[in-house]
Amino acid sequence: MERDQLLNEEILVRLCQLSNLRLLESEQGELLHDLQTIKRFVDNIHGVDTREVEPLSHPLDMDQVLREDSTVDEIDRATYQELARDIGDGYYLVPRVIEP
Amino acid sequence: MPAKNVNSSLWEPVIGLEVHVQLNTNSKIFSSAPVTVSVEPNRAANAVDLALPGTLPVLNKKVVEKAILFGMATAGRIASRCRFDRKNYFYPDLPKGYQITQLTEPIIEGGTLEVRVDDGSIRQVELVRAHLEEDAGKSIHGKYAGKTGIDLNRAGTPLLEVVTAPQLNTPDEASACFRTLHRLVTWLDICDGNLNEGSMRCDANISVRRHGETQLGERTEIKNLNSFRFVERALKHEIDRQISILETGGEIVRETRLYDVERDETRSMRGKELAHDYRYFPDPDLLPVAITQEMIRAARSAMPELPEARCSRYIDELGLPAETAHRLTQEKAFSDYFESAFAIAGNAKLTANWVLGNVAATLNRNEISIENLQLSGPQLGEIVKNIVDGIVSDASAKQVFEHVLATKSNVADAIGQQRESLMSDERDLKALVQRVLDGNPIQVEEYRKGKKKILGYLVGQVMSAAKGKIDPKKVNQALTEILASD
Amino acid sequence: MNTPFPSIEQLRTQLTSREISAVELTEEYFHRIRSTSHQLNCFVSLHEDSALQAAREADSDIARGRDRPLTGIPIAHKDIFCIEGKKTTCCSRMLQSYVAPYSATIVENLENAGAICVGTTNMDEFAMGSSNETSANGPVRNPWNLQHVPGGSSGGSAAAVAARLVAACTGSDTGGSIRQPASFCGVTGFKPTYGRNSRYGMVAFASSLDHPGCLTNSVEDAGRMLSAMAGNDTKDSTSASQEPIGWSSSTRPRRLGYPTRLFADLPQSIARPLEEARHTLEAAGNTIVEIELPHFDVAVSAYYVIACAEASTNLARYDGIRYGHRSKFDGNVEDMYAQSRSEGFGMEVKRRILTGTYVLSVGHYDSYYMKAQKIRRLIRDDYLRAFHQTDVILSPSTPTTAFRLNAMDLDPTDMYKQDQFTVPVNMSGLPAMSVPCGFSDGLPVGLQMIAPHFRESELLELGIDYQNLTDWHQQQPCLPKT
Repeated sequence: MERDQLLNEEILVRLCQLSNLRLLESEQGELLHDLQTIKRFVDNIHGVDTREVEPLSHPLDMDQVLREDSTVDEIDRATYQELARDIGDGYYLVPRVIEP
Repeated sequence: MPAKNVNSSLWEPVIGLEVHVQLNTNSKIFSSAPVTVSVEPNRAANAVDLALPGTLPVLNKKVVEKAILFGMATAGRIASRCRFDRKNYFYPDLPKGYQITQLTEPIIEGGTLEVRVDDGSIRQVELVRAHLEEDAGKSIHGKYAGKTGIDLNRAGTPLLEVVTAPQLNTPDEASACFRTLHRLVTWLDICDGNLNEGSMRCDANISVRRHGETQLGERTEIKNLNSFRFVERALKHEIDRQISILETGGEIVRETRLYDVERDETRSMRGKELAHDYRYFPDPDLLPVAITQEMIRAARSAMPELPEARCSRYIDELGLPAETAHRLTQEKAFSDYFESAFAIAGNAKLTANWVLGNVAATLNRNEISIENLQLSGPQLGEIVKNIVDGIVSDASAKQVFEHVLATKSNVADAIGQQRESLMSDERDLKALVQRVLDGNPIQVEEYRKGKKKILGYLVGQVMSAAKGKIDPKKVNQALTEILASD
Repeated sequence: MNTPFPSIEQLRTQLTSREISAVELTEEYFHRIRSTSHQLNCFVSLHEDSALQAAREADSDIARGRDRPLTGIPIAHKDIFCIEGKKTTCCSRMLQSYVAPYSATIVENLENAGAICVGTTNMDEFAMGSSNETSANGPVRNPWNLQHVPGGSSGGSAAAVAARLVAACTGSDTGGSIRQPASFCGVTGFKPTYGRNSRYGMVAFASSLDHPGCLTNSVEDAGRMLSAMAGNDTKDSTSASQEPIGWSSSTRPRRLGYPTRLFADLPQSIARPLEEARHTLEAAGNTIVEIELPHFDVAVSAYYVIACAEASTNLARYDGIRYGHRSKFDGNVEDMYAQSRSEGFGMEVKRRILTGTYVLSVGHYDSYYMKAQKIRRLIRDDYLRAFHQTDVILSPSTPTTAFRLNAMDLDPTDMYKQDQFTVPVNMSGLPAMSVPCGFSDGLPVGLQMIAPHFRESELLELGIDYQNLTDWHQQQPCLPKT
């Protein structure tokens, strides 16, 4: 079964890729150990019989309220962009993204 | 590696399209920022679009209404409840680090699209689904040395992603399908249809298999085709590429490819292929959306007559030739123009000829759309009606048409003026009639002997001498008078 | 030895009778904060100028008879609520210099009610922690014993209220982050029904579990705060449209659900005060109904699956581009992302992001995330069933009293177990509060009360009754004045 699989270093590397985290070597061992501990900790959910149980995403059974299609003028670009480190002519700048 | 000498007759391409349709709402799908293309970078991106900490999405009602309209027009199943999911991946123009989309419970499932291919044949293309999602921002490359600029104005623009079944077999069909979809969404007024600005973007899934084979071959996906022609050309190349690989014993690699317009070829987007794991899950910031009977009723009453239905009606009820009816129903505004003209003129064929002839030519010449034409449908109807009633000839109607276009005057005045300027002086008319009679003594003789039908010939002669700039009724009257008096 | 500290109502009376001005009251609080808060490290930033400005306006409002329910009352916000023009950091290096361009709905509501914000309080980084030790601003200390933690994640709020440095504080509770520190610090911590308070402008940890709430010196104060905070908000899709929170002062007997098994394994030090509280409530005419919560044991595990999953994607927006920490090592896009995030987030945040990524990834979604959401339904249904025969459910707030700093460093799941009595309530979205019910070795013990959805009034009425019969909520820690 999937859940019996070990959470190994290879998986940790993959998780870091997916979540864009880069661990220091000193952190790697510690985090791997922690994640294994956490996995063991949460694995007791597998013992619960959930056949015929619908997943519950929200504690209350409410429906989405829809917003009217109107615009509100609340865009203060200067204030927003003060929060960014690299701005040019109103663009947010990032290191060059290589397109194929 | 554009392969040329492939034996394509042995192979059958199988194509499916995914078309991203930008919905033409005022505000974004989850924020109250305006949907606009014409402002400076990041001036149309508010706190929600920038994914500032603490901001939350709230769904735009209009977006749901437009999706329902589409589902109804394609006879799809409209979900009684739908849901939004997060699709997680990092990209600089995706501010939240995830896209809000619909994976498991889309708003529309199924449906069909009636596609008329260029050869006139009709294909019923099945739709798999149509779901709502948000657009990303734009990355601007090459403007700053070593850097990419991010403009988030487009972020959060509502998209309806329409997915067809893999049922298209030629690039022509695929292109026709895209075109049909374009006609439908603009007809329904749920998208502005502006391909140049990316209002509709098409991804194509394509595989080939030997004729008779039932299993699908491995497919590739070509991204971001934003014109009918590019769909056709990109697919032609990709089909050739795949066939030539298979014929030389190679294997197709499942991948995403980009169509390079300049080099006219597709190429792999390797590097971006870092085996994605999007970790879809229901967005906890949004609740399930209930589609109520009230919303369905509202959509039903807002539903316009659809192009196929209108086309059939033109053929069956108005007696128009199929090609004419088809051409009249390519664009709703154009078709509505015809409708309003016909309502007054009462002659479908003549009205259609005018709309497809003079009107279309004027639009082409001035490169304007029908909405901007200085002569309304009812005005055209009035002109055509005057022809039908024999008040003006075709040729002078054409002049009235040009006159109204140029001066924005009303049609009655223009016709009045036209006729005055033509033959304002009674004596001019009489002189002209006399000249024609003098030139046709034999016919005059016959008329006098009782062959009254010859009058029509004489009227024609006068008309042609006046180069049409004359009211045939008046000619008739003048002829009768002069012939009687002699 | 303690003179009872004035309640919000008493402060309001003093203000409206002009016994004290709002400016004087605010200055008095700042004086108190300056003399003690450094021992506790409970504040992140103080807004003295804007607070005094607001106090002057409050005085003029009072003079003109235009005062509102909280006019002149000094409060503080947990550093998770955006306050326009002020730093909102979530006690993370990631948001160290983030100045919020807009205010949270809760912040606006309290401001509109006349409350004066004196500053922001320390917390676990992104509200992830139960001891306030994961804060980038350093740990908060428990005012009852400086060697012990105040609990978390709203540790700064709990410590500040316990030390009477503000009249009340906002907090957020995703798995117990209001009730657990309230219990550890001997104050009242109230988490209303999910959807009762708007989440707009509260930095997200786990969207379907995050509940804004408050920490106060009494249940009645909590009622006053909640009345001002709550309300439907069109900017939050999960906000509920409900009658305002109210309560009456009349006592009436209630059926109190008592999940016997939850009390069975507690250490004596905690069990005894809780037992006493139960007797007090029984003696007041309430009846005890034994109930069972069959899925209680798996709640914490299921909770961590869901909370981490939501957190892992809620925190994806911190990419260094539009705001937040951007690494100097951003030579290419990959570096920009990975370095900025790795430098900006602390260890506990990383653990949870990685855990959340794991449970959502291919092959694990069904067996972890989906499974946990199914268990979530079972847990909620356990409560709903119990409410068929009870009005309010009693529960411990925490399994221990406040532990010593660094006591839980070795195994992260030891800390997670701290929340065992509180997380099932978040998963169910029920209103709940922790009220002080005694002491053990000089450290406070809390009793948790849980009510059906949108029945906050049950908690307020029962809690006020209880606090009329006891004085645990009036006990104050003795901090050396400096």
